[in-house]
Amino acid sequence: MMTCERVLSLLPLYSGGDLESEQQNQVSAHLGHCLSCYREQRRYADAMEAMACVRADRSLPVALDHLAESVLDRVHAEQTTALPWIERRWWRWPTVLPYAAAAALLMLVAGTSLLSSGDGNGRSPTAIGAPHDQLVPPSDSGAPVIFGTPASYGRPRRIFDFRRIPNPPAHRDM
Amino acid sequence: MSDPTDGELIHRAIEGDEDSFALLMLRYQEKAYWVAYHLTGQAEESRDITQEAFIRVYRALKRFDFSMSFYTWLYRIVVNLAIDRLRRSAKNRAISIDDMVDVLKDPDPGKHPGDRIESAELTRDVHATLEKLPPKYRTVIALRDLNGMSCKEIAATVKASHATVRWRLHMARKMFKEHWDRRLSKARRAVHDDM
Repeated sequence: MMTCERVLSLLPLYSGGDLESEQQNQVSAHLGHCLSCYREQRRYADAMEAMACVRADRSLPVALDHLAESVLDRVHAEQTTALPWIERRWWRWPTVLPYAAAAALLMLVAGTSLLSSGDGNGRSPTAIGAPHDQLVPPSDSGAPVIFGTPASYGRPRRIFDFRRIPNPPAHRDM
Repeated sequence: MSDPTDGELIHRAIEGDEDSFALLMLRYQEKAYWVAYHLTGQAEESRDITQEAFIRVYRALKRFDFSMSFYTWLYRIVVNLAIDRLRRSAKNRAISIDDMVDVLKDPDPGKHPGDRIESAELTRDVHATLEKLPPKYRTVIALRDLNGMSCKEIAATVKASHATVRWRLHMARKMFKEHWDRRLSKARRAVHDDM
């Protein structure tokens, strides 16, 4: 014999006929002689009845007559507006990524070498375009010559030994 | 000649036969619509969801897993779209006037206009009660009690175990009954106060 507690825990599934037939019968038998459980079951039955009415009403609130046509129209529209190169298989990230990385690396190397080589006349990029009076004069101390603006004095870049290279002329008359 | 199976129609649609896909849509559009409607409670929105679901199906047709049934796949997409919309518009839920007008305009000669209004009110009340349930419970109760799907079908649709679906159904019915009781008591009190 089932207890009230057990029956109450089974009522949600019982009310929709979702229990095994044996359990369903046991609950039915209990409800036949227990008024409090029966009342609780009635509350479930009312709720289920309301849902059953909604389920039974199959009059469509909106027309679905042209749904298939509108779906196919939209699919066609997408196909015609889609750019063909997006569809191409080579234009996908997994394929493009190594090339993009290689290109970025190449640009980085090129940029770094440009920054460190200056203008080809022995002047570092910080010195290029700077007034000549701001340039550090060639040193006779034996240390590598460092060109740069005063702003770069504190963090000089040692590029290569300029003593081996003739100093550039201050002005070149064209 | 017998009707082609869903699988045959899908194969033909993959090969580019749009008529086969249109036939597939005609076969399932109403069922898909009702699933969306019982989850959202909105007529126009449900039509949009159904349309969007078929577009997604068409796009992904080549990836269809023939070991599963087509309607399970379709319902899964519909349920996910409906839940997405529910979450987005969780705060401003109400049956629109347009929806009510649509219900009243419905040409059903077997029904008295008064019955239609009553039926529309009941539908609105049931959907309003369902709105109070968290989406995962609402999905299960709507699929089981409003769309008549079995727990096994629901489990496949929502990608959950059979036991999980039964547990959610148990909880959902309990919650629905509580909210429904409250709604009925409030309505009875209002009638009593008017008298």
